[in-house]
Amino acid sequence: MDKTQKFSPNPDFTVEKFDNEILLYAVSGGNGVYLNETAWLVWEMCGKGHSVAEIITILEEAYPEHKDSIDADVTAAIESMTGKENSPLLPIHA
Amino acid sequence: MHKICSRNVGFHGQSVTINCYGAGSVDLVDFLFSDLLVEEESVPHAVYDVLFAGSHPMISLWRDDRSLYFGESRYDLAFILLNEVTFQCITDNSAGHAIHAAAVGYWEGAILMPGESGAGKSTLVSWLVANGANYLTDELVILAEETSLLHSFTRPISIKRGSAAVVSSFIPVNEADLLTGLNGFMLPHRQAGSNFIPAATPPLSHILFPRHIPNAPPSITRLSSGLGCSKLLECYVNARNIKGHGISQIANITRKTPVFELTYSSFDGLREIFAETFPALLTEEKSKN
Repeated sequence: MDKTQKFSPNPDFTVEKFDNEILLYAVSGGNGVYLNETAWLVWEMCGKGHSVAEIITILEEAYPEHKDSIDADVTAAIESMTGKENSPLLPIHA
Repeated sequence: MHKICSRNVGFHGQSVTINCYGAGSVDLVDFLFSDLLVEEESVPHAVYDVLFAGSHPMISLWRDDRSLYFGESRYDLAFILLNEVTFQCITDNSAGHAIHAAAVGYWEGAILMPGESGAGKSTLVSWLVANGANYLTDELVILAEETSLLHSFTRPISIKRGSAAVVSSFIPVNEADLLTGLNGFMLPHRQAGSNFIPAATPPLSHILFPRHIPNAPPSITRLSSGLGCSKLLECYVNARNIKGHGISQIANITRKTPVFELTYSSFDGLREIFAETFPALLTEEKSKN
């Protein structure tokens, strides 16, 4: 994955918040995506314009005890929200 | 051909009219819809004709001038007619949330068991009913928006061919009472258990997602509200009729209703699992069987 890549939240998706989890749902496509806490943080930071590398750095600084796994967790979260026809995150092309 | 009678069938304010022509047609329609008869003044969505002709009857199903079935299999005609009526009852229904699910009742309320076709809903519900639960449906419910009351599409239990042997092992089946076809049989639900309550609309008490996994030991796991909502949306069949696709309302349902996932490969050990999570659901008497 290109870590300089930025993504923006797909406006077709609505957000339903639960205690420690999030459900994104696209009314147009009728598909839902269940997010755990990490994926939700990634989604929010994408919405603030951060690249993948910046998100990893921010989370490593915030959670140093999980530094070893954050890169893989963020990458997995991004991959779960991209790549399909109607995905929750859309790549921003420079 | 002489029309013998008409039946208005449906649920939750939606209905169709079925006209019966020829000996045997009424018995078939009543077998399928005896617990879905509705008042005559409700406006039907569609009109169907069921025709039986001849001593070894050729049978047919029509909607207006369109033939939906012609042949000799009552089972095949019944299967098509059930699907038609189901579709008509939900296609314009915006008064509740239609969920593709089986359901059983007991004194605490109703347990909703959502799942796609082939998920084993009918087989599991047959086992639960044989062990004391009240049959509600093996196919479809509508959850009322405000009350969470569960309105069931109560029809005969439809067992696929591959599950016929296992169901016959825990429900004493009289072949003469079944509607049998090449792909399975339909079991009269009132004979499947002793606790059937007609026209029951119990409140939703639990949601249970069944997962049949070969060789997996039986277990029930509590799911989070968010994950439960995500899975329930996969079985939500009239979302397009509801404002905002009903997502917030479905989320509210899973926030206030305990959600579980059942993993099982057979019915061995299932009684103990259910007794732990739903202690009042199954009867003691049947546990000795």
